[in-house]
Amino acid sequence: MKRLSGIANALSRWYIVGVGLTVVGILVGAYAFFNVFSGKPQIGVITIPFTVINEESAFVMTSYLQYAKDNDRIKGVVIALSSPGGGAASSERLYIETSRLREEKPVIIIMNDLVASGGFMMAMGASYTYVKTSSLVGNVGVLSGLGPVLPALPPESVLFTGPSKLTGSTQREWIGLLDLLKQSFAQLVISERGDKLVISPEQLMEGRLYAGMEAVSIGLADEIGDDSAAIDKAASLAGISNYELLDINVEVDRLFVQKVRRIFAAPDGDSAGLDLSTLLDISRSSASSFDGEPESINSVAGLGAEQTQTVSLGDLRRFMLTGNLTEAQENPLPDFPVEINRPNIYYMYAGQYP
Amino acid sequence: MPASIPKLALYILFTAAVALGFFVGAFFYFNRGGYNPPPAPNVPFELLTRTTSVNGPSDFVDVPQVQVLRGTLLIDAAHHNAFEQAEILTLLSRVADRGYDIEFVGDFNSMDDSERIPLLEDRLRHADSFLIILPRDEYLGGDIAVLQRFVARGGKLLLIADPTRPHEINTVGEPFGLEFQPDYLFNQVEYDLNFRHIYVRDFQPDQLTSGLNEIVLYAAGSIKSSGEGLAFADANTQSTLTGTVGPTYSIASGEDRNVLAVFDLTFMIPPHNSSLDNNQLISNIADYLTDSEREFELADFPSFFKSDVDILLGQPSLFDAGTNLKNGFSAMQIQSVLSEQEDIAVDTVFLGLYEDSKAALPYLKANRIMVDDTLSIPSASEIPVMDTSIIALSQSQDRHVLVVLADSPETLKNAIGRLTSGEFRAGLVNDFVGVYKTE
Repeated sequence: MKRLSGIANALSRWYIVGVGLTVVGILVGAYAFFNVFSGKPQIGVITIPFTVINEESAFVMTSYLQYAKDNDRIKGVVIALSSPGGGAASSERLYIETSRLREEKPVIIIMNDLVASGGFMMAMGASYTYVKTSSLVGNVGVLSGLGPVLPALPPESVLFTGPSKLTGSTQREWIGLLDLLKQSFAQLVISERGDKLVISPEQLMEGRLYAGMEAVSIGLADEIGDDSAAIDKAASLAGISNYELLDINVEVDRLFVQKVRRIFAAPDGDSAGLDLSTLLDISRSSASSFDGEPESINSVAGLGAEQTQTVSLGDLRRFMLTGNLTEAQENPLPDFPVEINRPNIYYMYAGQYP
Repeated sequence: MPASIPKLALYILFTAAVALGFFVGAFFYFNRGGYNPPPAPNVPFELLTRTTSVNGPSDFVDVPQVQVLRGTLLIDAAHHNAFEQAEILTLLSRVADRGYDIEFVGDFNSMDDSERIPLLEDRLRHADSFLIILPRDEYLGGDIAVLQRFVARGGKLLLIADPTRPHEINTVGEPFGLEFQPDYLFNQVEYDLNFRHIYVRDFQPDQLTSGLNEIVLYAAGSIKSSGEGLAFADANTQSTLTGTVGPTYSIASGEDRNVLAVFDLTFMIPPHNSSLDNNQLISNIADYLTDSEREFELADFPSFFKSDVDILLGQPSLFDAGTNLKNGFSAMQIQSVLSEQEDIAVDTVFLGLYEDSKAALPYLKANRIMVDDTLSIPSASEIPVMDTSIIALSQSQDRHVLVVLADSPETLKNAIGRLTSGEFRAGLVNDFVGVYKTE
């Protein structure tokens, strides 16, 4: 009893009580803070090495942007971009996704060695853009084939309901359509850059590439800077300090691998949850387009050593993206004697890489 | 116990204050403010509209300004030329409408020089105009010499290139003072659907630009000419060739007006041929090509006969010789009749023995030929008439007369054989006279 009384006396001393309550207060405050703000703020970094934008690469890049959007701890995003552009619709998709992300978090794009055409369109979705003096940027415009070549009148067994139903347009109309797309691309740049842009629409539509320093002086980019400047800018626009960096490429790949493991893992634990031969056939028949370095997925997917074929991460992504819903399937329209082609409109720089 | 309640409240308040202080401190430690997203730009897509292409007059009718009885347009296909026949059908049909035959030389592949140059020379003998489109093989010295001779004698030469296709057109253009520049023209201010589709409205008065107000060239390059530019692009039209100074033109004549250069092929390919006055330009080019005033030589036989031919016999006994020649003309698809009287409005072949030479005297005099016991011909020594024959061409602006005289009916028959087979070219003593000895 005496011992308990001594402890009570000791506890009743103000400085002991004060320290104890302070510790408790800090713990409660920390608990509340990290519950409300879910941890230390992060700047997400997305690295897009030289990439031609197509349906698949746009899908992957969109998954990076989506991750950045969904993760509350990420307060700002830095994208290190190098791309000559690519498919028109895919490029526009990336612009839209980037500008949507910009509505919630600052997006800083560093335009590395070449950011042209569709790549430049994506950069227009950023809150702020950096270039290096040696970067090559711009190349606003459209690239396409001649357009629909009027076929011979199909046999009577093929019915169509209008003169443009088969081709969509005449060659002249097609050229007019491309000109319209060029104007809309240019208008997008003009609207995004606003008063910063000091060249005329005609000059913009010439489709020139500009060196980084030129791009800044004519208003196609905001500032010359490197990765750290971009990160500082992202933090500044997000209003955060004492942040940490998060490699979004790695995080998205990690989640992707986890998803693959789940798909391959059958309920009984065997690694035969998917028709693997189909997957391998598809992946072998197509070349890797996004990830330059093929990464063996066998170990990731838990495949046995007896499976000697390797499937690249890019192949697997393509498979998961497109499944079997591609034009590659045989005879998509049975007995229909007209060749099916996808539109060949590109926002792309197709010149020699300097 | 009641005294301890305020103390507990004090503890709680203290703890809460510490927690709040930590919260606020941590907040300001990590955050310096908030993110203000930029306003979404308003891209006025609704203001953008697809432009429609220009069209030409729907009631265009080709009215030939030139009508000829016979003529030949030869088209180069011996230099691996980069075009297809279908692309120039509009032009070819108008040339044909004006009375010209159209022939190709070569089969659109490369030919060996030793094979090509004699072929070109032979085919140009009977051509009035020559069209060269996008040769991918170089024109060599031998080709050029043949062409220069052709042009010097009034043949029309049209050179067409296109900056979007490979060509060696300058190897034939430069000798005639025409240089196709390594560029293409564009206009970003005003164009037909695409910046490379340029309007041309400034024309130099000429037969070729007659009736033109506005044309569209769909892939044009610029030409430098020591002759005259005929169709000038406007000030907003630029050349991709840096350092280009002065107005650019895509249609020009060479130093010799018989040479014309057009640096665009696409304007005559359907549907572009129907844009604005392009159809009129094509008609004008057809007029240009069929308006040749080609001067012929004896070696060009029988191309100088532009109409049906009268065969005039020196004496009735030469009827068989006349028939032989008539058959020869038939084989060459030339209509001829044996005539007893000369019609000075018709191309004529005078067929006779030396003793009949008086009837052909004016034509012999025109070539300064005298017939006696010997043949006296400029630039040749006196030749005894025994076992000889002579063929001489006399030409005025509208008429050609060929005189064939021989020592005997047999020698005359031999001369007709040489004429119809082409062997006569081996015995030419000058451009208009050939002399032959029968052993």
